[in-house]
Amino acid sequence: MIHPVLLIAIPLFFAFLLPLISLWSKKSLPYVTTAVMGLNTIIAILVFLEAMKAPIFDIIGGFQPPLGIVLMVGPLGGFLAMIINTAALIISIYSMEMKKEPLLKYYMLTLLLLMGTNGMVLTGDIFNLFVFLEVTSIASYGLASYNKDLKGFEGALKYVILGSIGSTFVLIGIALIYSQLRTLNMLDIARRLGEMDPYTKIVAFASLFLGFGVEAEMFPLNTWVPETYDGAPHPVTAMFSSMSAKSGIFALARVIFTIFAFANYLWFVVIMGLLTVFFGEIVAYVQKDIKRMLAYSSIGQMGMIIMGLGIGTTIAVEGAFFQMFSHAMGKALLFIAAGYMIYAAQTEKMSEMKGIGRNPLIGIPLLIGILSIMGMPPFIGFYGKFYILMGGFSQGYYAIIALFLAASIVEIAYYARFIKIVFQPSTKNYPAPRSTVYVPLILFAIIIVLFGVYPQPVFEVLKHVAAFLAGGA
Amino acid sequence: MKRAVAAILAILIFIVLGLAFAKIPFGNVNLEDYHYYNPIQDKQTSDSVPAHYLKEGKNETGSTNIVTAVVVDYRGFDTLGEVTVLFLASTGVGSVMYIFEKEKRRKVRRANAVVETASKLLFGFIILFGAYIFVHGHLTPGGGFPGGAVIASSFLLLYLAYPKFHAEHKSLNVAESLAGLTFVGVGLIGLLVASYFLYNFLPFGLPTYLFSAGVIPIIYVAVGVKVGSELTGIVDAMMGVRE
Repeated sequence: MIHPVLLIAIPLFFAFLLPLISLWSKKSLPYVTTAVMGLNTIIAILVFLEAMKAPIFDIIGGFQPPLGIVLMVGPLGGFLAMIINTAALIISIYSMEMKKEPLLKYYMLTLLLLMGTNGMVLTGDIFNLFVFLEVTSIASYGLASYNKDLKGFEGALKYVILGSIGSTFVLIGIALIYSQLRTLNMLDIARRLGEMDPYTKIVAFASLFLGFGVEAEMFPLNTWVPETYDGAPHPVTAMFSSMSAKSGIFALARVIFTIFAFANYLWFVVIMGLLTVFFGEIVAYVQKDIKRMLAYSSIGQMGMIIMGLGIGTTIAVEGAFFQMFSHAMGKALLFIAAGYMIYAAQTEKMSEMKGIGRNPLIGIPLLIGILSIMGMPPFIGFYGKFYILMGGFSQGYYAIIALFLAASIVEIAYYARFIKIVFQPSTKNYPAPRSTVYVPLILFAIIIVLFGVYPQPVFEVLKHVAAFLAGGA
Repeated sequence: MKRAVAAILAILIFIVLGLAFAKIPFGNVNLEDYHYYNPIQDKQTSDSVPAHYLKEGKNETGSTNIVTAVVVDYRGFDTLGEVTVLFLASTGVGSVMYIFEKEKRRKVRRANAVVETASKLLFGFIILFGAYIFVHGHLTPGGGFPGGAVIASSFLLLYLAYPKFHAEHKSLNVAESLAGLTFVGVGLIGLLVASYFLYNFLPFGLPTYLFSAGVIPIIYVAVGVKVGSELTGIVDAMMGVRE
């Protein structure tokens, strides 16, 4: 039997080992990191295949839950862990572009970010979830300020303030639950939720929702996103959108469905999601800097996922999970492409990037990524949006559907404008991309097209959403 | 004006929070025993989790100090996470405070003779005390975190007394890495031996003796060394280059 705990232990072990390796050979650090992430991806695939048969319970320390900690990996958790590890592997190829010192700290922080996000997705214990939330967010603070310029510090400081308030709220929520139920295991809490004082239950839910909302980029807790994404190094931005945001949203789904077992329409989650979509898409429309535009667009996409979770029918939550997959792949691609464009055009202004996409190595993956994020068939972005819409439609929430589509039109408008600029004929000469740039772009594009044309395997996974909604692993 | 608005808003927030938390009972109002539910074996017991820790803690972990039993054994995975959090904090500080060659050096005055002499005398004793705290973590109150903090405070004393003092980065990093590897390594050995990560695979021995509680003392020594070297590293990074 394969142990999911290896997904957490291996990156941690190598994060501790890297300082010793760097004494011996400093040049091997990026290759070791990539190799570790490759190993992790293989283990994640094995864990996922095992979890598809039956949920895995990996007991830590030999104490039966709820006395000890248990990792609880269902099909969806395994699926998300696989997405996160694959994205980390592909982004780590782009990370080799990183030249700024101290490189040792950079690779340690990326490994620990991977460990934290894996832990958040895999754990079945609510306090353990908090610990991994801390690991994820503190690794993110370090990476966000890595450039050591004014923009980086501004973004990191905003993130530190909001992130610490968020994790404090999570801790308050956990303390409230523990004070009443004397347990920290998620399934144990879900089973005995009825014993809780109803008032305490609401306050605890609100605290947890707020706390994980910061990491999941929910309005109005997402003011850190644009500055942090803008100021962070380019590979780190890709990691934020495809790793930490995904683990935050999965933690939110755990709180809503596994712990509190809300199985029907949650109006205020839907409204928060809608507000997030509108805030993100409309502000993205007026942005002139490429990374800021992508950051706001990322907020909009996360809002769609939150909406899908809030509608709460099986179809809508299937859509939300599909959207997590497509957003993780598509946004990582776009941020890597944006990193190259900023490097090639020497500026962040989109108006200065005329004709940069006419190099097919950049242009074709970029076009695939944008069309997927816009929600065009036959790319993976289509299914997520479509299923969220279907979920709302089947329940008759026409007003919400109309607003959702209106926001999508805004999204299409600004991405179309971006496409027009990037593919315009121009006389400017841009430096050719190195293989560390175009290989990850092409890999992401292949995944997007492959699962867009042939989505059956993903739907096979999403069949388990019904069990997840019913309070399973 | 701005300040007045901010103050009023802050007061309002505190009133709302106060009202929200006023209705919530903290702690056990009715002292009836809770029960818990084991999701894997689908069993319900008539015992609460804290009561189980108090009753069975000594037998199941061999640790005399029940707090240590919970922190290192029952919830050892959380402790591994917390150690990682501190490791991250020190790595993050090291990355943010990274000193480039060109940066200018700060001038520092010498401390007076009393501080210099006394810190030399105290240094060894403080380290000894810190080591005692984490070595006896499974027997008496204390453990890896406070012990490591005490050790780091002895280095802080040296930094304050001697302007030119510098802990060597390489040895700090090596100590930190080896301690971390020990913790994860113990966990992985447990995974190999009993297929439980962080399993307490050593014999428990007699409670209340130094060599008891299986792997708990090993983990606490590792945590102590790790916390000590990490906090020293943070102090060192924040002091900057001095002359």
